[in-house]
Amino acid sequence: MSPRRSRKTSFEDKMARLEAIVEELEKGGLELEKAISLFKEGTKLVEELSEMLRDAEIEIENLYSEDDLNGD
Amino acid sequence: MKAKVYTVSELTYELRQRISSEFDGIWVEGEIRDFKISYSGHAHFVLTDGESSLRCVIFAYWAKGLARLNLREGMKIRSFGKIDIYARSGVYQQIVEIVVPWGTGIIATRYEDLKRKLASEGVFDERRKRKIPSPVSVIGLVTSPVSAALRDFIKTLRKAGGFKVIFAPVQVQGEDAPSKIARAIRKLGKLKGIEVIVVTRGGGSKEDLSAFNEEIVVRAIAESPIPVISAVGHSVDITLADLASDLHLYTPTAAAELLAAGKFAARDAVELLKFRLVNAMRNIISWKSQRLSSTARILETLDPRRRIFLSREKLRELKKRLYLATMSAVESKKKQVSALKMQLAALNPLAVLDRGFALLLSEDGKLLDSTSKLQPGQKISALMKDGRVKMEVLEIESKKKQENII
Repeated sequence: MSPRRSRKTSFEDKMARLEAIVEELEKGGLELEKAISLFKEGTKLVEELSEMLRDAEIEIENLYSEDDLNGD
Repeated sequence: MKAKVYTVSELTYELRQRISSEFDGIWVEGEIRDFKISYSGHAHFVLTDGESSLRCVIFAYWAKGLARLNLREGMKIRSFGKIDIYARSGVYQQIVEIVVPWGTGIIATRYEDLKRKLASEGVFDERRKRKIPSPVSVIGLVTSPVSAALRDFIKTLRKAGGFKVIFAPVQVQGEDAPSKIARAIRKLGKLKGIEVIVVTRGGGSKEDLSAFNEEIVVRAIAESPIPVISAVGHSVDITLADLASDLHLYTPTAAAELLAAGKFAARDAVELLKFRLVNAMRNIISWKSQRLSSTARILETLDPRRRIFLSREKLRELKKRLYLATMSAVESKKKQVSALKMQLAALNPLAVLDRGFALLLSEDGKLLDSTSKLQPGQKISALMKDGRVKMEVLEIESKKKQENII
């Protein structure tokens, strides 16, 4: 629908995919190549998710620009 | 004939005499407007029935005794006292001694009417309420720039960090407050990327909450395309805005706590998955490399006499080629494995452990994340940040599936 929805689901989707990858690797019995490619995908997801959750300074932005306030 | 000319004081004196003897102790009924308490502790207000107004004063001594009545704007009362003229300003007023709350005031009636109307439209319907997303990164905040709310909110968010706050400064009291608040909520609702809107106000029980009982504010909240957390009214004074929001909390700090906790929980979940990912890959690698080396060993020890029909030379040659080919395959796998090992080390899966968590592993190194994988008497080990503890399961107490912490 809107970009905010896609952003939200993208976090949840990534978590779900990562969980599936981990479960598959934990089951074992995979070809090494398959395991490696899953592991790489998982590592990338971990990085992306950590980036989404990173502990950064709080950013504060005013909703109203100068123009907005003058026009009020 | 000469008409009598009064001085202003004479006239005032005479009127005072007549009025206070005529209206010495009467009951008046009306609704409170412009309620104020002066520095000296006197309470001043206007009683009105919608057409006429009467100024009233409760002197400090009485005002204290009447404090428990919590006189306030819009309250309908009957007041007892004499009517007097305040000579300095020539204004007549009632010197109130007794107050009895009487019925429901116009403001209270308006509140009830609006509440009923909105309720019938389903505005307060619990089923309409959305779950507050978790974790969130971008928050729209609607509050007064001069209250402590902004400071409290940001201070608490800082515990977790990693938030962007789009702040919409608004007046929360006064005539313009409702339209300003509603406008801010609608404007935030149109912005891309905002995941939750928090509407709040600073503490101070004396604050006037009426703006949050205005229809435009309530509707702006109910119609917001983004979930709204409200932290406006307290337990005794819940506003219609609070009833319409997706989640009602009591303070801006509580709202920030919730959002920060969501972030912490998500971080832990990612850390745990990261650990499991690395651990699973480790297990796969150690198993595969064991198999590779045992295969290589078998090939090395192939007995050439079993292939007696081949010449010794040819056999030696073949054996050598086979050995080299296998070893190079083993080498390439080994290289792949050691590259992965480095990648694994770089990921530092023990971050979870540094924060005081322990992980339970089975004897073959598998992560135990459920009691269903355990049996009494089973030997397991706990991985802690500085070592491994061997343990034996004594007893298992399984819990029903819990709700998420957040």
